[in-house]
Amino acid sequence: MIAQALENPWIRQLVNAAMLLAVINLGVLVLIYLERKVAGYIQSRLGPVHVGPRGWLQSVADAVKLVLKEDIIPAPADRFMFVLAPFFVFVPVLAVFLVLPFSSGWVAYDFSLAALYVIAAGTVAIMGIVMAGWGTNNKYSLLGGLRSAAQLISYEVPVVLAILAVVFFAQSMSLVEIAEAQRGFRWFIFQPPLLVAAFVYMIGQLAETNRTPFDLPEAESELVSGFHTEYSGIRFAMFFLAEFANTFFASALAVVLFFGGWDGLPGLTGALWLVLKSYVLVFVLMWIRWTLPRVRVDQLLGFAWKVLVPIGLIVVLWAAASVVYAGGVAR
Amino acid sequence: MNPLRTLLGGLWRIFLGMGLTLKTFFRPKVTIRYPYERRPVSPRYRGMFYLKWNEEKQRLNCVGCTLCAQACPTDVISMNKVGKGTTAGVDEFVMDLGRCMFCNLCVEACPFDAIYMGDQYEFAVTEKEGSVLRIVDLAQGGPENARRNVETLMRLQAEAAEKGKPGESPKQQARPAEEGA
Repeated sequence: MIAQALENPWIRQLVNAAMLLAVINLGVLVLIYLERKVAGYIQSRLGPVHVGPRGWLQSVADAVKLVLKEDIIPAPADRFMFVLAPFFVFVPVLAVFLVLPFSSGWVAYDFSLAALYVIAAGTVAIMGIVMAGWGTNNKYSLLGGLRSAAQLISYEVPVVLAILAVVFFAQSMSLVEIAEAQRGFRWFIFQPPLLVAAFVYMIGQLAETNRTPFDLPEAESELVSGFHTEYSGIRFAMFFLAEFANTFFASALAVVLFFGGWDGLPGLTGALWLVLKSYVLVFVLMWIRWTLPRVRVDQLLGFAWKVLVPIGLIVVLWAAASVVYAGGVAR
Repeated sequence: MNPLRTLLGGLWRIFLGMGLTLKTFFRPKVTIRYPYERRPVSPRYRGMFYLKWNEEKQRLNCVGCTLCAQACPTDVISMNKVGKGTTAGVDEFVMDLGRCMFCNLCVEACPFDAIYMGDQYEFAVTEKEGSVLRIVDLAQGGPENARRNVETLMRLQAEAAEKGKPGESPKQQARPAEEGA
């Protein structure tokens, strides 16, 4: 009977969507636990230890707490914007997972402009952050929102340039085809221009996901928690969820673009390889977060426009040249 | 060349820093999981008071001389003395720790080795009355020894009354332990 129900395309799509949502949300819970443990270990602490064995139920306890909390809307807030902002941040993050290929055939929707779609859909979240900062009617939130607008738009450029270099090599914008082009350990990270591109991409994504050293929109020590200061309960949880889902997506996308996607040693399913590699990259992101201090606003924008964008442009030229003259095309 | 060197130098320093944090990541952790693990307390630590129990004589060392109460700058201590001379002792000893500043003067004042500060440091109580400690809380060995202390004192007084020695017709009779508690 279940097999019959799955034949119906609508039910099938619904099940797919539910599974994707479940995977994302569970993954986020794992990431939150991981973040705390990594933070603790790097600071010579133990991290969460109480809830569940070795504290691994801590994020579940946190999630329950957040759902049960009172949902406060501040009196001077712009209600419409305030209520809408979390969705604007949360939905694009879910939307970009649509095109992420977990393995060959394991993709919700594969189309030829996936790389472009990822960039475009991811950018919508910036609007949500600015809306949250404005709608809250709190000066710290507003500062956080404005900072994030400047930051995210600036760092979008080098990320796009890095992805463009990858697209040259793969000769396709479909994420599935980009990953397929790297089968058999011909990962793009081993191509010199794309190694630099990977660096540019990861630094750009650090900024895009609001993580230290580029966490100015949140900047706990100066803006309390930035654009989501006044949010509580389930709305805050949506920002939180979006942030970690975004971190995971940035790493997974890096794996697809540079680290061979689901390519790995035989013995494990492709999707597991992809997730494993993504978690390694997420660990690197956390490692960076707990190592480096926050940069200043002028340093942040200066670094984006004076360092990353030129390097990105050089990489694009380099990649194009090696594709045309040195036959750098992978297939 | 110069901007490139700056960039590479910066990258190199970031790698150095990340190496440091990775090393810390694998080092043993310094956390002491407090309610489950405790740090050793210094022998001179001024923690919770206790009245020393004399196992040989089956009584508390305290004879109720009130020197500690007189030494106390914040008027924490009060006690009820029973008997006199060799049979003297206390059947009640009250300390209001809400006023105590743990200055140790009472311990220094005591000539009978009766009052000490131990290594207990968890004083938190949920109501103000909880910080007022009675003899049952203070006696070393707990309420059981507080009761035995009073029994011994009563026995000593009875013996003294039989012999007609200075303990005869004491002005203050030791009360039964139930009342003291």
